[in-house]
Amino acid sequence: MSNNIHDLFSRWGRSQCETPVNDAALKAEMLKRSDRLIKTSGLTAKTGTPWLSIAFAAIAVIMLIIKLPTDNYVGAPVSVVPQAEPGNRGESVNLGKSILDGVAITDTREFSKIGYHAEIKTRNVNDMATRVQTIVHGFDGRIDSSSVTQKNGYLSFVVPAKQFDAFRSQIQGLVGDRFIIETTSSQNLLPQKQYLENQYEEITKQIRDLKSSRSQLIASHQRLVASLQEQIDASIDEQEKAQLRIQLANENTAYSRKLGAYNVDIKNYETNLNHVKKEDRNLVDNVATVNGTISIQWMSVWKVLDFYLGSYWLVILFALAAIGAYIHNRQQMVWPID
Amino acid sequence: MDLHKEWDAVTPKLFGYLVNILHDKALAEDILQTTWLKAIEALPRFTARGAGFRAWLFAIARNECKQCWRKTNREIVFDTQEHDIAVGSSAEASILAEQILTKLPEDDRELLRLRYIADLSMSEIAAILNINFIAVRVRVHRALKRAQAYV
Repeated sequence: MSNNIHDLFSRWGRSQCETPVNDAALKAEMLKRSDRLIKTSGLTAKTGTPWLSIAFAAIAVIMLIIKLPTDNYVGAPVSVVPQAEPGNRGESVNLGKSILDGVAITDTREFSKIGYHAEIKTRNVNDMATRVQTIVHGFDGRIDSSSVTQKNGYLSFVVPAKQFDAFRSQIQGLVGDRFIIETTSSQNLLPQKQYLENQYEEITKQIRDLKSSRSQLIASHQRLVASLQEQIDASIDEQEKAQLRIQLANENTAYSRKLGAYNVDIKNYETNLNHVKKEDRNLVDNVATVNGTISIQWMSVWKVLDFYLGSYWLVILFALAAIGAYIHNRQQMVWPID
Repeated sequence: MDLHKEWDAVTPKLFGYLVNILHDKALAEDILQTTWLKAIEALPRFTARGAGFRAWLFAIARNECKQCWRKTNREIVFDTQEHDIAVGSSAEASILAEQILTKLPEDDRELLRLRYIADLSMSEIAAILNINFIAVRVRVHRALKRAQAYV
């Protein structure tokens, strides 16, 4: 658009300006009234202090000061060490670090025992506990213990290791990422496995050696008895026969004692072997399952807001209110109302 | 605030504005007086924020005009025959401008009065009309564009 129209209206606007005929009289009257008003009311221009804005800002600052030293973000990850469950069948699950250090690197087998813990924050604890139980049972697991109140819930469970990943994703899907804290621990039980394998080999060798010695004893005894019997049969001297019979009796007694000792040792070692086999089976069963616990905590609406807006949401809210009040105060003016 | 200076600066524009709206100098004087009286009485409650004192004065004047129309139950029709036209070098421009204004809607006329007679800024007009600053810019631009079409 050309400036012509603008110039045209500018000239028109200037031409429209005029003073009233009695301008001087009106002006004098107004100034007189103004002076009178100033004298009676002490009129001064209002500074328009934004008190509301200052109040909001002060609250925000106070809350910030209060918040700083006691800041404890509820959403911060909490380190949770899974506790050994009473029903944990593997006696040697919690192996010391020194034992693990001694494992040869050439043995790359893994017998990982997985532990799982989750802390869930929810507005409905009972409903959440029921859903967790349903999921555990749905994955062929079992609930070992549970305790649920209006505000808190605790469940311990066992699920098959092969279904653990699917189980975990189901648990994660129960609430948003902000409302769940998970801890998964894994420990390779290889040292325990190696120990049991060594025990097994050693006991087997002992049993084999004992059985071999026992066989040798029997053979030796049979040979000696046969020899003595032949001598007894061949002898014509009664006194010599009596001595041979005493020797035979002594041999039988010694044989019985040694044989009995061998039998006892073999039985003991076989008992040990069975025990080792049982431990090995327990270890394999233990590795095949995941022991887990889930804590459920009720949360207030304020905490939900905390999760979404961060720890300082109330401070931010008051700061925004202060800014809003200030802007409103700036714009406010005594305009005439129709 | 120096009322003496304010009077000298604002009154010609305010009076010209009122005359242009009312087409009656006597009535314009009355409303000018009322406007100033109300402004002085309300001055303790006035805070110089956003738009200034001058815009506030024009807002009071507009309101007084509306009240006047409400009492008389009619709005004075814009008539170039009855309207005072200044004489002198800008007389030709004034006649042309007045002719164009008769063809524009009242909203456009009001915008152009506030812009060119009252010599108010866009933000001051926005405060008076209680609309957005951008909206004022757009409306003034459109009014001028429509006026351009009648040149």
